[in-house]
Amino acid sequence: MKKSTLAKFLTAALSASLVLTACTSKPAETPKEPEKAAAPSGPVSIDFWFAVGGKSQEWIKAATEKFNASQKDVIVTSTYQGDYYTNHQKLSTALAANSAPAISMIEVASMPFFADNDVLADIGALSKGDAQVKDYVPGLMKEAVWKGKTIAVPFNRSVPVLYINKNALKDAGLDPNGPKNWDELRDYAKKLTVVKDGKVERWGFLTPVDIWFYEAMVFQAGGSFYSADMKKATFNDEAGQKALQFWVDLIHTDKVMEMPQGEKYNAWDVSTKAFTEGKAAMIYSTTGRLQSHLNGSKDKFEMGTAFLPAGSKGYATPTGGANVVILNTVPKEQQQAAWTFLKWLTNPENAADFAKTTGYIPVTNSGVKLLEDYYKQVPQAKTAVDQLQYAQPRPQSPSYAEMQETVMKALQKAVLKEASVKDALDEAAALATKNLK
Amino acid sequence: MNRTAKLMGGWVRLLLGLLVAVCFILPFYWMAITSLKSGDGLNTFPPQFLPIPITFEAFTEASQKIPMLRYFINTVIVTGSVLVLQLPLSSAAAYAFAHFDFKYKKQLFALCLMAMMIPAQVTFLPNFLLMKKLGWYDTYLALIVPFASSAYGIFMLRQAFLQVPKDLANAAELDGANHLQVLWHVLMPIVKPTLTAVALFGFVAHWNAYFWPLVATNSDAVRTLPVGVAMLRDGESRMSWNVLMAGNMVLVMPVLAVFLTFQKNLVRSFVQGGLK
Amino acid sequence: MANMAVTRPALPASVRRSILWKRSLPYLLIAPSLLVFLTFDLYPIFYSLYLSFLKWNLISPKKTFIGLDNYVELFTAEEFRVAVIHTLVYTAGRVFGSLSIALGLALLLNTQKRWASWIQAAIFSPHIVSMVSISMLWLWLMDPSYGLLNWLLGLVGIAPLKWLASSNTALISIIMVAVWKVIGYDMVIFIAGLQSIENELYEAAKIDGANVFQRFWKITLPMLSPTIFFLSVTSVITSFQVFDVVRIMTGGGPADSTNVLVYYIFQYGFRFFKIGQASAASTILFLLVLTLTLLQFKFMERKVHYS
Repeated sequence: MKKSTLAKFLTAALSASLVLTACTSKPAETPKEPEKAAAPSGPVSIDFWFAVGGKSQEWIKAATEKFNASQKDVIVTSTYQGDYYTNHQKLSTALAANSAPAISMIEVASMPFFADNDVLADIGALSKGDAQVKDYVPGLMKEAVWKGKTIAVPFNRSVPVLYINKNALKDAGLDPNGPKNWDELRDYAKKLTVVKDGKVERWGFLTPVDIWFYEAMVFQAGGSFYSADMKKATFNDEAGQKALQFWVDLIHTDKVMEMPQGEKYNAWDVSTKAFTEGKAAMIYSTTGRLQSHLNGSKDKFEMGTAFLPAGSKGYATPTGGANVVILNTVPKEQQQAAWTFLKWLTNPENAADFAKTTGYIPVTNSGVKLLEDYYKQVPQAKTAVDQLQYAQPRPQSPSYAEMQETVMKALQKAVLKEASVKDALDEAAALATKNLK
Repeated sequence: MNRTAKLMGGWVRLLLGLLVAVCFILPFYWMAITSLKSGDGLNTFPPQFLPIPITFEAFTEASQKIPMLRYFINTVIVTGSVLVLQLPLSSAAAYAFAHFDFKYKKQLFALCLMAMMIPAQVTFLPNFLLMKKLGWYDTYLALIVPFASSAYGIFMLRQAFLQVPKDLANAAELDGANHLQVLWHVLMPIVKPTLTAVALFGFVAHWNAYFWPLVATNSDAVRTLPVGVAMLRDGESRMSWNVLMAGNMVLVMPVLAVFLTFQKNLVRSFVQGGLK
Repeated sequence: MANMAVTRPALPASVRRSILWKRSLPYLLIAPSLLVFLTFDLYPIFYSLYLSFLKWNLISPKKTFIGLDNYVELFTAEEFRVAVIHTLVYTAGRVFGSLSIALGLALLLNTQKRWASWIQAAIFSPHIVSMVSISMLWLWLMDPSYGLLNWLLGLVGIAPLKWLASSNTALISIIMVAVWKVIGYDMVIFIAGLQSIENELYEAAKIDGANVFQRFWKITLPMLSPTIFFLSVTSVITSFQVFDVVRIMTGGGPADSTNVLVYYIFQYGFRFFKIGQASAASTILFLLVLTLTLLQFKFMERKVHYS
């Protein structure tokens, strides 16, 4: 008898849970329906997820309000989702949960993962041949096209640049425009390092031990990340080794650089801080931080920017930052509304204004033209745009996230002298190759 | 001689104790004064142990970067709802395990204990997919319902119920009270310290929860304080220690306030909890 | 049972209902809790096991069944082996460090004096504060240039340490923070254990001429052994699940030196979107925790029988 009670109870519990599931599984789809129904008459509401803080965040918030006030058809809600890594994680989980926004930022090297999963809307189709699509700076579109389709709009795009404390260079009797190649960089760094009582007071040079800057140096040395057929990771060849060995030498042989502490973007902030406080004379960072660096160095020293010094194969740079994409998982009219917003967001005036406010590269050719006067006043901002002529595309692989992690570990291992440059890179390349399959 | 030695011993103890206490209070003190400094006052050398002048600009800046009030309210709603569900449900189950004999009791109890030891880190992926299926993803429900009962609470309360003499309950039953009346009027008052401890620990655990809310939310409307405060570090203010510490002060203060209020009770409950 | 079946028809309906009520009452009391556990704790374990046989990236509708490949992958991956080793090192450091210091503190503070209870409260306080806040606070304290810790070291003439920036010290730094957070809890449990030891035992030992250390080895430690066992097992279990502090303080770096099991799971699940491999690692974590828990119950049961 007791058994039967238990059986009854279990049946009851099970059916209760089934009922619960049945009842609640419906609302999952409902949120979209009212919008769908309302679409023909009322305005379309769309979400925009972004992943940049500081000045960019303020600009995006203000722009969203301006857009909403300027017209009646589309209402945009912009939400800050943390840094690129967090945003990708949020976006993927939201996609899996069918609750993705209409628009999201995606860091350029992570584009292939989303493109490969076929969740990005075809901008070409949505824009119906709009002239603005052709106006986007070609150097920035390399990461916005997947299998022949335009699947993104460049937005907060950047290149790495060399930031220079001109006063320090002048004091050391060096050319205040900065080093032109690796050898000069090394020489400058030695002369700029200040040691007092065995303690380093100023580092000659700092760079986050980050894949982005490593990419730049691999390109400068004539190397590549993947073989042309995308079957093999090639960053462990001679060029890749030379690039990493350069850092290792600066740190251990010359003792003119240290590895900035912290994971991922923390290390960037550490170098930014060291630079603006005069504790590092030259750093690699993104042009997206130009305004922060200008503000930080104000009243302290004259700040300059320069191309990343050339390697044996001349100047080269990856581009970086993020594109904005439209997700094809939202209803058609939301996708269309999303394009309306994106077109406005990246129109020449806005592209120029955003670039001016932050230091990112203006994304349309007409935007660049609008800034000619500004570049005369703030020549430091022009470096990035000029350097674009040497831009090479980011490694385009759906398994980039893993490769990125693997490479960063290898870089750190070598820099911390836990493995030789060759061993660290060979091991990482073997893993990266495996992930390509 | 013996008495002076004892007295000396007492003083040495006190001194040592104070030294240890400093190791635990100083970091929190450092957090507090950092949050009251301005950005420029952070990197002075030697460090300043008094925030002069005191400024609340870090708090203002933190609340400009993240909707602090919204997160705070969300956290209150979530933590409150969890406790409102968790306490009665756990008490009921604990009472059943302590005062009834029924078939499969042992197995069912083992099942509850299993739940206690399954790490959230093992179940988050399936639970995330479940939330998606239920349509609860990014809603309060996702943060509340999975914690409607607490295996830890059941375990602690059962232990406490077992320590109540059976005669007491039996006597009440002979007086005509039914089981639920016995539970409510006789047993609950006796195990109140344990109940308080379970409530406090539930409060602390859910107020502080980071991992699951990180996975289960993506809008400001439901995001909780720990996730929000951690987001401060994703942005460009990650090096503005005064802003970060200000955000953390908002997260920490309520918990410390509750703790200081219930401090004695908490420690006593542990002793009573039968962990001897 | 048979007896009851015979007498049942004779009972009036109301009594029968009351018996039925009494019989089902415990099940009804347990039902809601059980439903929660089954749905959100136990079912996911099995679902996770199922996921561990798949190749799936969370977004794509395509799920491929690949058998045990994910497990094979794990056992051959250097990164996983490293993560497991770090987890074990962390666990050993965290459990041994916290228990030994906590026992010392418990002996020091096991008095009825008022000041002792305040100091206990101070030591206990980090236990209830969010790991998010603790991690960020210590990140600030361990800042190599402006951190309070390096300044304090400088006061006593020690050269500044790199803390989290060096792969030699990062894991130890994290263990330090974890120990700092939990030590108060362990101490409180130890004090409870100490207070349950009969004073007569000590008096008798004193009369026999045992000194302080002999009393500690011969009485305190053996009498505390159940407490020590309880704390070790629960600490080992929670140590296996370490995540928040790693995510916020180091992100597994530098050079993988603080990568641990759960961080590995999180990375593979939510950054590389290799759901199958993440689930396989989850299963292994679960088996480890399960073994330890069963061990604990076996021991506790035996202890109950003998006492």
